[in-house]
Amino acid sequence: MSTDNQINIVEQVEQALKTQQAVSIRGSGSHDFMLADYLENDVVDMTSHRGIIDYQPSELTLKARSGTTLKEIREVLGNEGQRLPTDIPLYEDQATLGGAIAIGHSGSGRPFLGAIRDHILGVGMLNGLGEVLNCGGQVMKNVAGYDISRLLCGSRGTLGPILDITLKVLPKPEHQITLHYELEENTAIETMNRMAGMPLPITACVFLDHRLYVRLEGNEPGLQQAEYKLGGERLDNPDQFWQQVQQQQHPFFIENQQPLWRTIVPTTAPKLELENHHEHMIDWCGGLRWIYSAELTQSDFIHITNVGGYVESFRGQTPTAPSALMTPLQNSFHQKVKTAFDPDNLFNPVLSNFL
Amino acid sequence: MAFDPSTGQFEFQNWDLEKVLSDLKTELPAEALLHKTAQLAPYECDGLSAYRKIPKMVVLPETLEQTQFIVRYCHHRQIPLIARGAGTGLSGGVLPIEQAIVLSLAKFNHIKKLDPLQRLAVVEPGVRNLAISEAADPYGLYYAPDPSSQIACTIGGNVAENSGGVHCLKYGLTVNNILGLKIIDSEGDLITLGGGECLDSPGYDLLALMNGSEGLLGIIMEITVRLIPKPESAQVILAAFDKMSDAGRAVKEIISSGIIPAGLEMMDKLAIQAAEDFVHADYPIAEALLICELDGTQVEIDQQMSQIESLLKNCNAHDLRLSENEAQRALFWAGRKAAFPAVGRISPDYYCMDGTIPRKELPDVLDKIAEFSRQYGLRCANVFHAGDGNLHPLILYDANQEGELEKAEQFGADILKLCVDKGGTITGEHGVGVEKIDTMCHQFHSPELVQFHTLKAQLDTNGILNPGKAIPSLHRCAELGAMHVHNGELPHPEIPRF
Repeated sequence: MSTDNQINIVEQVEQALKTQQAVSIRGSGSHDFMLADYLENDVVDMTSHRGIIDYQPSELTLKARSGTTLKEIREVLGNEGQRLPTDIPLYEDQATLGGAIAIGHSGSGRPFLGAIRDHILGVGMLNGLGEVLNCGGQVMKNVAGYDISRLLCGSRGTLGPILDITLKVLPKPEHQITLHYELEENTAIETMNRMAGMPLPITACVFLDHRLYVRLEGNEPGLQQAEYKLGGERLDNPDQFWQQVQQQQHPFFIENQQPLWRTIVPTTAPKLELENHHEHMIDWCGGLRWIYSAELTQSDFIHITNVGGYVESFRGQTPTAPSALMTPLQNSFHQKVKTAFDPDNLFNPVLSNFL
Repeated sequence: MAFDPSTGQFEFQNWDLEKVLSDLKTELPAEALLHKTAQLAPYECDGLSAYRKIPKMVVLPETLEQTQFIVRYCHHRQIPLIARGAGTGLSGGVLPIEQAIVLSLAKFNHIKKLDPLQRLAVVEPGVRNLAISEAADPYGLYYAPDPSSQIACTIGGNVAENSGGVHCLKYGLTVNNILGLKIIDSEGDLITLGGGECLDSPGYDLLALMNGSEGLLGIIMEITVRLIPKPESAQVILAAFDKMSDAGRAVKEIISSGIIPAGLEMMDKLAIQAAEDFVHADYPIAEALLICELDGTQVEIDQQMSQIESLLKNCNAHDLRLSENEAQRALFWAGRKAAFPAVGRISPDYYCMDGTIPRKELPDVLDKIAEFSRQYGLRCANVFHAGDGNLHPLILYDANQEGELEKAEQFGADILKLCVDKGGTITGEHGVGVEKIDTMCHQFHSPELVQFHTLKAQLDTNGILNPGKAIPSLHRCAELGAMHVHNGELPHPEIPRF
C-alpha cells in the first residue's frame, strides 16, 4: 500500500507556522506507552505517508516513506533474501520506519551489527520553517554536508517530521544457530564479552534466567567451526526466541506487570548491585539491562551512574526526561540544535522541553 | 557580525600579531606559538597541495586547558581558528584563510585507555589511525576504518572527515566505529557527546553530527573507538575482464549473492598498467581488474570463495588468481594501494576525485568519464571502491602547461556533477573542504544550505571554527550559476541577481 501524503503534511506544518500553534508528529503510536502524555492536540499523522519508493536489492538500499510499516519492509526484503539491520525493535505490526528512527532504539544485534543509525544513508525531512530538506543520499558513502540523517535518530519528532528514509539493508545470513549455557550472572557477563572479542560470527548475546544465549549467523561450515570452539547446547527453534525478544513478546516482557526500566551500562559492567532483587534481562552483550522495579532507590541510581551508565523508565512509569540524564552543557547543545531546526518550537514542544 | 547564517557569508577583522602573541603567552609557552615564516611553511596546505596559503600563526597546545584558552580567546576576539591533525586530508579542509590561526593537535597523541574485554580504546585526536590497531593487535583486535593514509593520518582528522577506506563496505566508515567524543565547543567548553563506553546515549545523535563536520562545529579532543576482533583469515582473488561492463556486472552479482566482501576494488587499464610497472603486483593487464577480499574463518572463506569464483567466470572473468598466503595477499593489495603514486609516475600531476554513485550506474558513468576525457584532452585513470560505488578517477595533467590545471578542475567538476545526477554524491570519503565547495551547490539546494549555516551559527555564534569550508555561501552558489533549476524555480530566489 502506497500513498504520498507529503503535500498535506507540508500544509499542516505551514498552518502551524502561520498560527504558531504547536503540533505533534506521530507514527503508529507503538510507543504511546512512553510518549502519549506529552503530545499536543494537533497531530501530524505520519502513517498515511507510506510506501516503498525504491528498492534495489543489488545496491543493498531501500528508500521508503516514513509511515511505511516495518512489517511491510521486512516482507519485501525477505522476498529478496535480505533483512533490516540490527533487529529493530518491533512491538506491533503497525510500527513505522519513521517512528523507529525517531525513537532510535536498537535491538539485540546492536553491539555486532550496529545501531539503527548506522544503517541510515539519507532522509527527507521538514524543518520548522516548513521547508523540505534532503540530506544524505542513496549511496553507501557520502560525506557532503552535515550528517542530518543520523542526527534525527532519537529526536522523537522534535526536529521535524521525517518524510522518507534510505536504509542500507543486509543480506540474510544463510544459517543461524543459537548456543546456550547455564551460568551465574557475572560469569555470563564476562563470557559474553570474551566471546565477542573472538573472530566468530556472533550477532547477539542475551542473558536471562541464569542462561546465556549466543546467536551466530553465517554459512554452515563457519557455524559448525564456531560451535566446536564455543561448546554449549544448541537452542531449539532459535528464530522464535529472538523474535520474541525483538517484539517484547518473550514471557519476560509479558508476565511481569511492574514498571520496566531501560538501563544502559558499559558491556562489561558486573551484575548491578541494586538495593532490592529485581527481575532483569541482559541484552546487547551486557550493554543493556532491562529491569523490573516498582521503584528504583536513590542509591540504585547512584550505583548505575558509578558503573558509567544511566537508566530511563521505559514502561509503566513517568518517562525519564532525556535532559535529566544530561549535563547542562549537553542540554544546551541539544537546545541549540533544536532551535536551528525549529526556531518557533512548533514540533512536539513538551518533549522538546525534555531535552 | 562575523558570520551571517542566512547566507553563509563571513568577514573577519585584521588582528595585531604582537598583541595576540603576548596575550596567548600568558597561558602558553613561547615554543607553542609559531609565527616565523620558516616555521609556518609546513602548515600552508594539506594533502591537496594545489591550494596553499601561509597562515599568520600556528599554535601547538599540549594540554586541554591551553586548548580551551585558545578557543575562548579566539571566540571573544572573533579570530578564525582552523583545527589540524596530520594534514593528510585531500580536500583542503585545513587550508589557512586570511586572519586565521591554525590549531595543531599534533601533541595530543596518547592512547589513554585500551580495554580488550570491552573492545574499545580511548584516544587523543593526534593518535595515528594505524597506531590504534597496532596497540590493539596483541589482543587480537583492531580499529576497522583504514583510509589509505592510515600510517600518517590521525584519528581526530578521521572523525572530522568521516574517513573511509577499502574495508568500509563490510565494516563501515569512521562514524560507524566511534562510540563517544569529547569536544571543545566554539566558546571553549568541554562537552561529552555519544555514549562513550555505553552503546546508546539520551537525545539526538550528536556523535553522528560531529563526524564529518570538518572542524566547523567543535574541536575534537578525545575519541572512544570501537575495536573488533581481527578475522582469523583473509584471502584475495584477482579477476581480469576484457570489458568494463562485465566487471561492473560481476560487482553486482557478488553483492546480490548475499556475500559482503571485506573489500571489493576495481581498476581500469591505465591504472593497472601504472601499478604493475611500479610495484610488480602480478596483475594481469586487462581492461578491468577486480580485487575481491573475503575475511572470516578459513572454512567460511573457502565456501564463499568457490561461490565467487563461479560468479566471476559467469561474468567472463579470466586470469583468476587466488592469494595462497599472506605475502601474496599483501602483494595483490600493494598494487591497488600504490595506484595513486603509480599514476604519479606517468604524469607530472594528477587530480584525484572522490564521487560516489549507485553501483548499477558504474558502466554508464565510466563511459561518460571516457567521453569527458576525450573532450578535455586529458587522460584519466580509474581506481575505485567498487563495492560501495566510491570512484576515484585520477585526472592526469601537467601544471606547467598553461591552463591544464583549470581544465583538470573543470573535468573533475563535470565528473562530480555526473555523480550527483546519477543519484550519488560529490564526496564519498575525502570531504568537501575548499576543493568541492563549488560542486556542493550542485548537490544541495538553498533550504539545505541555509539549514547547515543555521546549525553552524547556533553552535558557533561568532563563526570562528574553520570558516569558509565544507558548506558554500549562498552568494557563492548564486554567482557560480551552476545550480540546478528545481521544479522550474530559480535557485536561491532570496539573493539579488544583476
